[in-house]
Amino acid sequence: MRIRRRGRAGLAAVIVMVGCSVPSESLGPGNHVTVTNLVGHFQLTADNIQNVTTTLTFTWQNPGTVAEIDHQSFMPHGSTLLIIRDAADSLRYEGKLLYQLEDRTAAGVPGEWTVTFSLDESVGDIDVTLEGLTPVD
Amino acid sequence: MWSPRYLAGLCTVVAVAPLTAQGPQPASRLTPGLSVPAAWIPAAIGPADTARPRDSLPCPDCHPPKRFWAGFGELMLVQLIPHSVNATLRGAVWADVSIASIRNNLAYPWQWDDNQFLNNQFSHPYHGSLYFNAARTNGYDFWESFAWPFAGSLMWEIAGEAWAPAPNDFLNTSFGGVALGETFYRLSSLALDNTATGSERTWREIGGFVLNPIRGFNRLVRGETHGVSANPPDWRPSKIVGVLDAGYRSTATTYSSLGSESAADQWDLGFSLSYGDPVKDLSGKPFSYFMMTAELAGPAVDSARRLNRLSVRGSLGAWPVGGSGRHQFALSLGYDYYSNPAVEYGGQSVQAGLVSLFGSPGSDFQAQTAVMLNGIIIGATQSDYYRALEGRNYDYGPGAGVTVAGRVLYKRHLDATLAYNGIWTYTVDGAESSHFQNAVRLDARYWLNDRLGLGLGTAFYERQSDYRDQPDVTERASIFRAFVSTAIPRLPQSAAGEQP
Repeated sequence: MRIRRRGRAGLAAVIVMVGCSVPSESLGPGNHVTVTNLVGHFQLTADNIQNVTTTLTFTWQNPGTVAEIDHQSFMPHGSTLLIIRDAADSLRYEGKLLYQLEDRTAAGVPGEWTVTFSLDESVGDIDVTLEGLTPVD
Repeated sequence: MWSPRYLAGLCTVVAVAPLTAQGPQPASRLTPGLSVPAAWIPAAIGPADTARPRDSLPCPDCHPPKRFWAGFGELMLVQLIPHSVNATLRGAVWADVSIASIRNNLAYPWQWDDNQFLNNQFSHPYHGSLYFNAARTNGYDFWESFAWPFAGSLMWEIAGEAWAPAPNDFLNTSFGGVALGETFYRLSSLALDNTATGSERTWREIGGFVLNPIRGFNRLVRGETHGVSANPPDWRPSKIVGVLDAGYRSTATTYSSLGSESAADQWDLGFSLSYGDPVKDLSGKPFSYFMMTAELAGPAVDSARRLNRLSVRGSLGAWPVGGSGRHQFALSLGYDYYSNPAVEYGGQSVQAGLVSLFGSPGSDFQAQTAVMLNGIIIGATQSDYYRALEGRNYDYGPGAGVTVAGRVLYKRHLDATLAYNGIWTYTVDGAESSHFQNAVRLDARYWLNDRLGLGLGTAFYERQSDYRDQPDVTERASIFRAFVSTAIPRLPQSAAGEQP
């Protein structure tokens, strides 16, 4: 789905102000990046992110057909996307990192899943946990 | 944040109560051109006032001093209370404001937020109404108070929360805050009576407090909740009409492309208040005339809530057209909140157009018409594809529209309104799209006497949503209502009770 965010540069700019141009940075030691990558369990945390543009990609063994997503991130600025593909490389989830919300991927093929974090001028703290499971109908 | 779901309904009840309590009234002293029945004159205007020796009473509220620092302090209080509750009691991360978060909010671009419809389209405007009344109830007039919700919202967006400032919050809080703020200010004036004493005074002060907490707070701390003084003339409108409809509503909806349909049978409670004279007061001070409509329905269906509608149209100014005195070019400020099984729409708008009156006072046939262009500053329109986990399911954008409406009153018994509303909005945030909404509404009441009537209403609604990357969707809905109407306190003799 294409989402229109044109107003960010349009209407918002007209209303009050345009954000100052700040050079993008990468994640570093000051961001305390921790990754827990186990079979059926994945967690990424990072804090003090300030104007970072980067992409982080992980392979994760998911024995289940879906992944429960526990969003505990707080990313007040920029765009930070979580993109999850299943073992067949089919897109199962794409969404913003959120604060205190839970979500679930679409059902996919168990096995080696790909988890991607796409940061674009992002600011804040990342805390995302994935749990693999197979729903019982 | 301030999110009292049923506040509008509560306010409606509180606003009506003082009107119903006024009892028999003296004859109108208004011009014969629009004869107004005695019952529509609130207690503190007209010859009834002369029954008490009030002419000699002081009137401290007639020319109140401007209290900037009191207003500023209350503006800050209105921000600090919700912020503190969220920061300390709830431990909300977004309320963890620091120098760094303020600096980020100033440095990075604004972002549209994905909050739920009720929060963005009602709670924010209501919060803005508190900003507005921080000034309005401290001696400032409408235009002097206008900037306060803009300033208050800007402060909140920059320094009240750590989220990126959101343009939708700013626009809804500021423009909606003005519209709701002046409405609640005038409703609270209606509830208050400085000449009342005893339990009547107590209940009026409580009603005024509920309708306008900032004003209630000010009256409390300044000792104005007791003691007898005169009421300022502008506390009472030249006329006022309230109609309460209670009955049944059926809604049938179909969606093309999506292949879905729905139906809902609900109880329905509607209230419309016409404050001021819709012809003569249009050219008066802002909101000398306003129309407020609220609707509750249940049981709640899907995402629709029991608060189905809250709309306000308040006059900003008018100029005569032609020499007959029947036509005026009018400007108004609008606030809209619709959330029923067929329609989810909210927005801030300004209207400009021709308002006309036909028929002589006292004649069998009287009519009013309005042809208005509608400039939509920001509209939130139901989206078929945009879904955010936070709960947002609507597209944001500015737009334009038109309203063509007519209302007739025949022999003081048949009262009918036919209205068309068309709205076009262009999405700047959400699923890339343009939305066209058309609604035709026909309401007819037969007044059995000057207090009780029976009514039928029907409306046809259509939304054509043209999406760039998804199949277009056409939603069609038909709404049928049957209701009992109660005029509060009595049916007017003239059709000039409300703008159609």
